[in-house]
Amino acid sequence: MKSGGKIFWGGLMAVIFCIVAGRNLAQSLPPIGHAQDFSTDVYYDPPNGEQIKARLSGAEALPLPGGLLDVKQFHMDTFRTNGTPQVSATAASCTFAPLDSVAYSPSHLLVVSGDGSVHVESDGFRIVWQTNAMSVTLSNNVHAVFESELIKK
Amino acid sequence: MKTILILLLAICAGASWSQTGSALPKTAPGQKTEIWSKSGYYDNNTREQVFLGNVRVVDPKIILTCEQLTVNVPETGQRLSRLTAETNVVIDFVDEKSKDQKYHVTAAMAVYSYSVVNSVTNETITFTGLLGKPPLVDTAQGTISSEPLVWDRAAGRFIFKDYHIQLNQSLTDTNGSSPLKL
Repeated sequence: MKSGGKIFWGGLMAVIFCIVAGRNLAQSLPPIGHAQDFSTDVYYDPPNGEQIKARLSGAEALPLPGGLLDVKQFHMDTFRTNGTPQVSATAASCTFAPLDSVAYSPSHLLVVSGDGSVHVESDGFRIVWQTNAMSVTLSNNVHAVFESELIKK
Repeated sequence: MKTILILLLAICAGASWSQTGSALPKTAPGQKTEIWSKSGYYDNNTREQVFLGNVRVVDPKIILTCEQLTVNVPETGQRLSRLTAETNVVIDFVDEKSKDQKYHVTAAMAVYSYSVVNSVTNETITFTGLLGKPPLVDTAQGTISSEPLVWDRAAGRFIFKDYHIQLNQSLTDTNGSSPLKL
């Protein structure tokens, strides 16, 4: 796999990690009421505590029954410790369940590596995380594009 | 068991490719690889990305279809070392080391493996079949079944075991005489 692919997968894990960190974001996102055009940053742990690990943003966040949040125009960017882009994830909407450690949506998900060399799309997704294990389910119509050969010649 | 090694070039030398599988894309080296599937998942505990259902991979030199494709995601800085395609595996590919010879392989499973041991590169794709239905490789020159069937990418050759060869060439030439000179 080309370096872009490696970067992509590392970045994808970073996205997942950041959604794990989203349990902390749950306090940043509006638990009650309605928010528009919000953006929340997650930082690396020391010694890179000055660097943004991820930036989660949305056009709108609405509270749902059961402590859920309905996030519109979900967008997440992750960054390396040197500040360069790692992965960007976009979905039209996302239901965020911080207490269950789950994020899911039937909407279209687009994940792009920081250098643009890898794209993964899916109609619907579900992200589940536990203490030491996380998984991303790509529900339907998965399409991955690597801008170079997957296997080196 | 006795393992027999055959250089595919020795079998297929000198003949041009006739269509034995789906059309290969006319693409230049360095172009993108695309994967489609019905669904998929990624598990960071096992570091596996799995594509499920009607999986189709299109690479400048390879077209792969199967029902499940598992990519073992490498650690940062490392090369992709393992891919596993399962169920109804069909691969059309070009081996540049064999003068751009084209192949059509069908199997129940295909495992790509890459490793470097003592500075020696090992890069193979091992095809296996089901009981009574071994992997098949088709070329313009013939069909070979073998269980397993190993494509040694590093060496640019196939390794056959308990193989059976069916040549497409006639033993007589166009004027009816045998081309064999005994």
